[in-house]
Amino acid sequence: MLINYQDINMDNKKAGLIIIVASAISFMIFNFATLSPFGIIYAVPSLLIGLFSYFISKSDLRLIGTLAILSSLIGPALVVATYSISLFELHIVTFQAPIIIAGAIVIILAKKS
Amino acid sequence: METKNIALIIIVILVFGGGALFFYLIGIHSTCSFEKLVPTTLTIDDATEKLISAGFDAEKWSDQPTIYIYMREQHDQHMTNIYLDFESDGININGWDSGWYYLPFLSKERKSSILNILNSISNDLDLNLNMLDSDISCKSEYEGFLD
Repeated sequence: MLINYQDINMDNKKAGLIIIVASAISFMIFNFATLSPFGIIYAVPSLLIGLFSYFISKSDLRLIGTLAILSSLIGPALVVATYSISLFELHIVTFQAPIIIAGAIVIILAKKS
Repeated sequence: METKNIALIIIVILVFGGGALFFYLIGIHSTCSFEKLVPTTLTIDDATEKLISAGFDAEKWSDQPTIYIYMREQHDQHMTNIYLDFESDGININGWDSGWYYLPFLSKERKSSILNILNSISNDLDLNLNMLDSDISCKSEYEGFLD
């Protein structure tokens, strides 16, 4: 999965920033929609991926983007499974959309480079 | 560490930590209530037995002609209280559902959940409840932690 870090247009720092910002947007959408602080649960997994990409990783951006998308499913899966499974799709579409889009952008830009 | 990296860490902490704290402090509590009279000749004892055998946490109150059904979500964010008051002309099904987690944004989903419970009770007791979305009224009020 490792590629030459020097060859890509989008570096890990940019990808990390995109994912961090998307996590913040997702966090705020959840909080404003429900007026509760639980958006933090939804945003932390992808936030960690973003911080990892920004500060540490020099690995394949496709992997980072994929991990960001997958990490966006963790929060809804944990919370919704104890509440109502029927909410899973709603939460993914409404609250986690920014993270999924950010992950897709990172993957697409990584493939182009 | 570069200045911009430190700035990024501070921004992340402020946005996520500050945001979570802010919304924790302004938490809003929502309540949905419902009430409908259903004509029936069912006795309170038969109804209690049917509800318990259907899996409901139903309790007949000895001092009143009422069956009380209590439902709580696993993570304690929601609770639904349903009262079946046996009156001369039928059963008055009423109660309320409350939670801190949902708001008007999700009230449609909450109403749907309440309707599912009530329809299940209706089926188990062979009632003709026909409860609609419009029969459930939801309101939200401040119940944060600033007080």
